[in-house]
Amino acid sequence: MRSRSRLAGIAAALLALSGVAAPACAEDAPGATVTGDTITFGQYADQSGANAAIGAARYGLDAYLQAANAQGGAHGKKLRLISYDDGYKPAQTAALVKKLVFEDGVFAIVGGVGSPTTAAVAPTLNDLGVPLIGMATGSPIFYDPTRKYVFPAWPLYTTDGKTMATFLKTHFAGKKVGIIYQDDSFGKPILAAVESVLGHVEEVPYSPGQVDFSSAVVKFKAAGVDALVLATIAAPAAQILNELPKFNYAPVRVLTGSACGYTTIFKTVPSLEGAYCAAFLPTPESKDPQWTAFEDAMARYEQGHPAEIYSAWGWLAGQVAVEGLRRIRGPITREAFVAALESIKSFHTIGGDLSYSAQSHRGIGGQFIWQAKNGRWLTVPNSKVEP
Amino acid sequence: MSILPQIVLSGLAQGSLYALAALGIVLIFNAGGIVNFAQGAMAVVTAYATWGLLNGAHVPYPLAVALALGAAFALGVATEMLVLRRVADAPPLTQIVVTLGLLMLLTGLVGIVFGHDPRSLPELVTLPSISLGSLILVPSEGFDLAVLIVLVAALMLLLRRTKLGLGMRALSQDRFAARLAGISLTRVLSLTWGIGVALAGAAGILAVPSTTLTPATMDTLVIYGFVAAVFGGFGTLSGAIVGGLLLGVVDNLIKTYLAPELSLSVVFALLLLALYVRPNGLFGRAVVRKV
Repeated sequence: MRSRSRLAGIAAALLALSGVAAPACAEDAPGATVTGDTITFGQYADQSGANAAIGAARYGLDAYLQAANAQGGAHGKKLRLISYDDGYKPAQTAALVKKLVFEDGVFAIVGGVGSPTTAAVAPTLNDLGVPLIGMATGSPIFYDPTRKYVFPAWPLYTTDGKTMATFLKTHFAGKKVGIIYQDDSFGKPILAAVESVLGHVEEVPYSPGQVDFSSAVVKFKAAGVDALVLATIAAPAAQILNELPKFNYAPVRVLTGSACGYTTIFKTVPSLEGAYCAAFLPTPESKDPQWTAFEDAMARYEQGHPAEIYSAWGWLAGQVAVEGLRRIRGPITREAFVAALESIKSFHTIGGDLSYSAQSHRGIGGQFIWQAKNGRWLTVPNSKVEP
Repeated sequence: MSILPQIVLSGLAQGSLYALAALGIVLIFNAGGIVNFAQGAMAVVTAYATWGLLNGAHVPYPLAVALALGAAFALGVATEMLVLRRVADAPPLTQIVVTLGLLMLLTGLVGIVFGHDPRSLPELVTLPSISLGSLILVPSEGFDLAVLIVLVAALMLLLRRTKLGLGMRALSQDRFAARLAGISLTRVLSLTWGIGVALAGAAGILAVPSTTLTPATMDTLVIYGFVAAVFGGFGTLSGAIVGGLLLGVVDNLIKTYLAPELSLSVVFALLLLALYVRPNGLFGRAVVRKV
């Protein structure tokens, strides 16, 4: 009898984790109500896998929480971060998030990194009533339909694609456009958005981990493509850009923000000069006060880790989560947290103004274009595109 | 104008990297009967050593490459002496797990020491590309092929004209008889590991300029190296070379004319088909055991 009830318990837990069971009551799950003097957030971010560069979001988030603690935390409670390395492997993300929720008892998951990794946990967290805030992805699958406990902060990837396509249509009218895109929930929405603005373009998909892009470059050149959109993450973008001059090929190049955020890009891609990048964050060289505050905090709390775009992703997630906490009136519960987040309107973040409502968790709206000039990124004036 | 010649040429250049990776794998397997799954991580260590010498110690590029390849050789020798020799008589599964452990350990250490931001190495050949009608000859691609030819020639000389080479060949044929003939198994094995890892290191140094350097840079390339080795007939050096070159061309053709996002899957499907027809690969022979 006892073993049967234990089996039933295990089965219920497995069902809940796999998202099959009916939504659990948010107030009953571990960590649902903050009672001590610490509010703990959990995060998953690749620190050792193929996309470990973007895992720097961990340091930006930690810097923001430390800076917030220096100003008294939230409701007099200290903020704490538990961040696990998921190696950008969705199965690992699912296991680590389970540990964060059931063993570590975190209040919310904040600033998790990646589309496939987030896809592995978002439905389950929503069913469990555990808020998922400011994850580093703009994949449409997290925005539509609006999930009560899921609060994306980024502009949609479709806005990424729309911004790049609108820029090309405006500034390079008549050019034949081609796109190389990652064949997954990251690259496909960008392709769809580009084609919604420009109509059919030359397209070449690639799978993550591909090592040789010479055939794609040869194809684009032979097809007469003279403006190339790279819907890729950092390493493939560097590979493709480095291939272009070898084939005496110099198209207009437009990258996504996910490909141009690391500090060493100008050394890694010698031919970057003149390339464009779709972005929603200020350029690292800008005098934007939000960026300056981020830079100061990184220097103070995260020595050895530069203030760069990828760490800024974590900073943005921290801004959203802490703003939500500070808006809570009364007991700090997950339900109160969600209500507080949905009350945020035109909140100034490092990535632009952010608003939520009960009907829409869209986050930041617009994007603009940077250009690589003299070894640094500069914002192209009047390039902002709203979704 | 058809892009086919360009696709084949680029495929051969990429295939030369797969062939180099496969050669190192086969050389070590032939001598010790061990499949070294840490080969890619060791190539990454070599590339990072080059990067460190170039950017940290400001050593001239050719010298940095030579020193890094020397370090790769030392890493191979040390791995055999300190790790693999201890499990020489253990079951094959244990040895496989040991090399997988080395893969994880080295990848983790490189990440801790150098971080995960992509780095780069300059091209070893910086001549401008040459246009021959619609065909473009890329000097760095020609250089990759030339390096493969030179290293294979050197390897053949080593195997056929030196005492060490004789020992390596003897070990691959019959370890017991080789020992009876007075060949020092440990010495030959250590040196073979050194050469095998240096070959992987060479593939890594050649690959990085056209890609980026991260702890995971060689992951896919070494998978192709394993496929090339099996395709050619695991255990034969000529099979590794032909398998690598063929794989580079076939992979590029798939990416161009079939489905770029499925190239690795299609490559494996073709491998299964080829093994169905020739179970021992292109150049492999069936092993006959006396009972």
